[in-house]
Amino acid sequence: MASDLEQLCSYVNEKIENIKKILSLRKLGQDPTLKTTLSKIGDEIITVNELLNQFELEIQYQEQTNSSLKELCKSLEEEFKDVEHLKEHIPSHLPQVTVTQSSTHKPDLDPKESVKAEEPVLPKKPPKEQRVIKEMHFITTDEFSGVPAYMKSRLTYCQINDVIKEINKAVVSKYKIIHQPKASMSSVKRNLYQRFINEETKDTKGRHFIVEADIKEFTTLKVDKKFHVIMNILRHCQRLSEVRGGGLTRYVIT
Amino acid sequence: MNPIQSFHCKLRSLATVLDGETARLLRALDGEDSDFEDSSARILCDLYSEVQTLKDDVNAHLDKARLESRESTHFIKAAKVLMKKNSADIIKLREFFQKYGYQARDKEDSACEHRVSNSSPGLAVCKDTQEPGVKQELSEPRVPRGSAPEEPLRSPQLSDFGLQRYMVSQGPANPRQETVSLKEDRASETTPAKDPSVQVLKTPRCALKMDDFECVTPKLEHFGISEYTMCLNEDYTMGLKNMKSIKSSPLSGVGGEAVETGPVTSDNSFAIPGPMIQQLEKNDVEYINSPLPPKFCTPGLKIPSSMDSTDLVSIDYPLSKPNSSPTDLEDKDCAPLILNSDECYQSFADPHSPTITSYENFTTPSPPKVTAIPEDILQMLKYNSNLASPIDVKAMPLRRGFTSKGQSTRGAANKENW
Repeated sequence: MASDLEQLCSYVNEKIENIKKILSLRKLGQDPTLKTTLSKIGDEIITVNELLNQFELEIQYQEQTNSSLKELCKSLEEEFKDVEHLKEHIPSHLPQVTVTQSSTHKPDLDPKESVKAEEPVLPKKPPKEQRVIKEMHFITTDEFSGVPAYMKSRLTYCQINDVIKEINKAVVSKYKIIHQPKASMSSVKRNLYQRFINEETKDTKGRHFIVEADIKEFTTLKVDKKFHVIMNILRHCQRLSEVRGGGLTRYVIT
Repeated sequence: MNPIQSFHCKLRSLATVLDGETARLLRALDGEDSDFEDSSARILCDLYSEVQTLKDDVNAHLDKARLESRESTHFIKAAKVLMKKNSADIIKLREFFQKYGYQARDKEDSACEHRVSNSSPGLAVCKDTQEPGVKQELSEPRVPRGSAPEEPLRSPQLSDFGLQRYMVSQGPANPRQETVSLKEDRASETTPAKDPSVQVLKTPRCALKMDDFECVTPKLEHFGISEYTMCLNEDYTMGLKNMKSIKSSPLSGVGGEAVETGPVTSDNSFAIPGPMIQQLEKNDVEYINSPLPPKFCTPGLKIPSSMDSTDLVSIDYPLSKPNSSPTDLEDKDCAPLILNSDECYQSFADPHSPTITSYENFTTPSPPKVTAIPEDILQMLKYNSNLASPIDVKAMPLRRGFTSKGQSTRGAANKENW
């Protein structure tokens, strides 16, 4: 009962106030100052309308931006997937890239071309007599596909690159011993060193080569028919050349 | 008691307020109060301020939105630049990896499968990089890697074998075509072989036709156009041989001679001008050739031939005399008469030569005459008597024939000598 009465009072009061306003506005036409104020209010309303239109256009533009951002997000996701796939499927036989302490190499690595340059490995132990040991580069899939079928028989790309890796190990081991100072050599290494010196010829001077004994000494490969087939393949791919003399077959790294 | 009292109090106050307000409004309608004008101005000012605040709010929001859009635009541009760089780098990496056995992912599903299947090789790679000693173990998982490339290696081998089979199949196919072409060549060769055979077949037909032509000529001779037949005889040696063979038979030969000499003599007697003389010369040559062989062949005929010659000689002299008398009488006919006289002289000379030949003939058959049976002689004499009767009638043409023969024989001898 009380609330109803209060509502009735407020309603009545509101009506009275509206009537008062209307009566007061009735005399606007008579006063010029009030007329100018009214026109100003109209202009303000028009400008507000224009601003709202511009705001609407801006919203549309933002929608387009949003869609382009979504596309960008999708493409970035695709690239991310590609990178993930590359990371997960890194080939097992990639040429080694040395990251030296010098700052000159760092910017070279960025354009990715130095990665293809296939720099040889530098030994760290003898820093004073640091020398470059030439290694055999892995064959590429194109080169492998270019090998004739009769020569390839049933060998696979990975098998050949595995053999290359072993040969590189043998080469590095051999020339580490050669580059080692004689004072620090053990008797076994001294004997090997002597054999290495004896195997040198005019044709192989200044070049890195190995013989079958080195393969047996430094690796676990078996020098069998399969090994010789792989040697032929490497010779076909111009990774290797044979120099024969004195009952030995020297495999020169080219 | 309290709520009722409060309610009534409120109600009473409301009624009083309404009364007051109504009174005030009635006065406002009359326009008695000036406070309304001030209130209207205030209202307008409030409205203006409200609108201005709204405008400011909208401006603020708009500026904020523009700033945000500008920032997002810059971000998008920068992001695109970075994306280009990243994609370029990714492409380079992919190309580099593909050199050494990397296979790019074609589809997202396949990529997921690759991830699942190749997770262990990835671990193997990590182990490979971490521990070199474990490489021996890693070689074992590499074998399944080898198996994957082995499959494509095997398939080209099979295809290579397949290609070899095709080559082998193509090999005999080509010689088959060659054999077919050889057969065609043989067929083409056989056709020209047939053509000469046809030509060979044609030649005997031509030969047969030639034989027919040869047969026709003697028929004409037999039928009796002497001039034409004689010309043909001159052209063809077969005709002469046939004539000789006909004359070789005694009875038929004799009959032939009689028949031939008859019309010839008639022509000679009537033919006086030059062209006829040429024809006579030709006829004389034929006469000279024709009767000689029977003389040699038959000794019996030789005896009556000598008797005939003597009779002809005796008869020739009176014939020649009347010829000379008309020449002396008429000067106009001197030229033809001279020609005739020459012929007469030649005719005088001719009987000498036959006489000589007759002597030779006499010497040769003398023994058979002695050995011959008288009955045969008698038969011959009978034939001679039969011939004598026609000889008397045909004496002049026979004599002339002999003379013409002599001339031709002498001319032939002279020609042979030169």
